[in-house]
Amino acid sequence: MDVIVSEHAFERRWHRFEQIVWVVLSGLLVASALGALGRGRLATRTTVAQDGSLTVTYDRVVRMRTTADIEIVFESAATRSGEARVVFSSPIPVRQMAPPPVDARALRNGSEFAFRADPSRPARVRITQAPDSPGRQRTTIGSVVVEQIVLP
Amino acid sequence: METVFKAIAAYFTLLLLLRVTGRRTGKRMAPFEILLIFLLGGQMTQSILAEDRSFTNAFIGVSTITLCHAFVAWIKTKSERATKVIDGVPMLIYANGQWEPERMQMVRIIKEDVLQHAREEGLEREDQIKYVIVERNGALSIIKYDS
Repeated sequence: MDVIVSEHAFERRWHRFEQIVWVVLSGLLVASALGALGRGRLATRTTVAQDGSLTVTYDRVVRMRTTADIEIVFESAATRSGEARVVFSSPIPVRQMAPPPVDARALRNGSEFAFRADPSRPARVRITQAPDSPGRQRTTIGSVVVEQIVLP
Repeated sequence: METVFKAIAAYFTLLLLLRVTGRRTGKRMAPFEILLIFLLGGQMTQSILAEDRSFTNAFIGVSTITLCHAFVAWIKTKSERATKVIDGVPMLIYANGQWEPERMQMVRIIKEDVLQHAREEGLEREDQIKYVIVERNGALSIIKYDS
């Protein structure tokens, strides 16, 4: 058996495959830099409720067990009573709320939180979440639908 | 169970990345390769173990990787094609006075590296070389003409 062997066809195929992998990896890094894999410009989305009462800014792509913020801004009309109330249609994996809610209660389809607010200006609430499992995550904050993809 | 899936994904991801990074030329591991392996391993460890720092979880992760490694070694004994994909094939980069620039580019080796190796083998002239092969582990084999 000849020990000097040459497998040019395989070498070429593998080299082509290597080039494809490099292109894919480079693409992923560019996508990551732009935020397509979370924590960046492409990931962030701001949605205003139909009645204009609140604005929600969130990341459409988040990472499992990694904190990501959802910011809710209540327009001053929504805080006339000195309180801002919001209903979440489904539980979200909250790590922290700033400011902390003054009242929280479970509803049949979700939960409601109340925050102290100054009626003269918009109230801002920052919710830090950390999803526990990968996949699609959908919740409604007030009338704003928040859909997120959780990367593993 | 999550640790098992993550460890399997990490093992095959690293196998692919190290494979496409290219073979090392020379028998010893260069400092940048040690760096690469440490950093790749460190990054993956964090992801595999996540927040569970228990010995049990580490044991599950290590056992999974060991089984993956045994599986890859087994599949290599069963399939020649798998062996080629996992380990690569020897690359003939010089034969009977002809350099193979395309293949040299594929394995990212330059003529000077080969000539240095030839000097280390005690050769004085290029025409003493019959074949140069970059082996699957990156080592250079220089076959001399029969004197």
